[in-house]
Amino acid sequence: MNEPRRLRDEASSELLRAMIDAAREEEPSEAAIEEALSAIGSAPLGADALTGAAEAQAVAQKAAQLGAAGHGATASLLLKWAGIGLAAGLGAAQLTEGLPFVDREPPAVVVEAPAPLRAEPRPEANEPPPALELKAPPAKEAPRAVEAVRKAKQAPKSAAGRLAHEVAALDRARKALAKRDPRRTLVALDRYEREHRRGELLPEALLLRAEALAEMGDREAAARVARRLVGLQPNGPHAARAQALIRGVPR
Amino acid sequence: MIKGGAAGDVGAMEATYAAPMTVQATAETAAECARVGRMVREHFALVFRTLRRLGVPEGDADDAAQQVFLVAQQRIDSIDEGRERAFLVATAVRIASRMHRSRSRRKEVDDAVLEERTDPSPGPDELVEKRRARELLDRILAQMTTEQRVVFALYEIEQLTMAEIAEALRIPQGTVASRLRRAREHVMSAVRRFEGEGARRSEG
Repeated sequence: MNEPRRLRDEASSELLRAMIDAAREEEPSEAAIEEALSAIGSAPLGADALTGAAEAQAVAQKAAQLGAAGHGATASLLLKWAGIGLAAGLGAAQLTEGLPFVDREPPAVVVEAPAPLRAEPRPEANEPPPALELKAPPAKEAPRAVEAVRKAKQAPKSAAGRLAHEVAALDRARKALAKRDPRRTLVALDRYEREHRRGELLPEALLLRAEALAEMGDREAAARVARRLVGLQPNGPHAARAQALIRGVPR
Repeated sequence: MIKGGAAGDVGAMEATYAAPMTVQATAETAAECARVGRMVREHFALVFRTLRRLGVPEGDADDAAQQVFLVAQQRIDSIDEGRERAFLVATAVRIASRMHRSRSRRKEVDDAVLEERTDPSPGPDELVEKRRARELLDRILAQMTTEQRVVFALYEIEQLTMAEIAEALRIPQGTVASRLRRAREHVMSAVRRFEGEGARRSEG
């Protein structure tokens, strides 16, 4: 079948050509492409990815030691962050073209991402979340990191998949805030909360929201959100910063 | 050398091949993931633009495009080499259609944004600006059927061949051709009308 000439090439209308040219030239932002790469776990192998994985590994080791010493709650919290770091860091590092993760040494201690990061749905949004039940697998039973990533890929609706998505969504908010762009931060957070109503990282999202509102000069709203965060996690890792925001202390 | 028959040989075979198979599986996973990464780098803009021309608002297009690639990641095993673009286009069309239905139900902010976008007729000077030109095109496309709109966007904007469009949409090439013809007639007619209005305005 003959292909007709494109309208752009045969149209005499300047307006029509301008419209088609404009449509052809529309490009997504680099940030959107990066975010998509991050969401599929294929971000370029940057320092962040490697640092994230390495830090997560160190935290996981520390958590395993604490767990062995009977400090269950602390170990749980550490493991949560280790898992997040691994999900983000390893996910990004493993999938880089030309440098597949399988060519590298597997980490000494690996947290299997799906299991430890699951929390039961909260009955009430204002109630503090139940303690996360996280257990460090014995070193000899620890799956290879690539296997965890493989499982996450095979079951994208798993906790690891959701968490990686949460991390990516919050990362955008964090970057916007770092660029002192509170409006964009809030847009990113709205999206995060829309997609992750019971998200694992809700406290972090609340803190970012409070910071963004404070950045915009709306201290009252910032304090309100910070109070919600304190109510959710009175002794959480962000409680001190939240209290400062309630008092109106700038960053 | 592999021998068959005896139970002991089976055990030996398992021992021999267990490790290489694991390596092969992980290598396949890495290769598949790298492939999706390549798809994002090569086709994200096409997917993004296709979604935009199908009426997905600018603010939602990034997320929708990301969704397309997450679907591709889940189904990477079923995407034949060389047919990535067709798969992505088909998925983008489905996601745009779903978003459109969802927006129609919600009647939320997007409607207000669309209203704002489609309200005043831009003057000829403003049309020089690319953004305004795109908005006008989208207004025209919005008046077509979805089927015509998809074909027009893929052929005229993304410059896919009719065969590629037929494959992506799973319709005969003849159908692609007839939809394209009707879509082009619609666009040309709208442009003529608009230019006529512009001329009358400048005379008045």
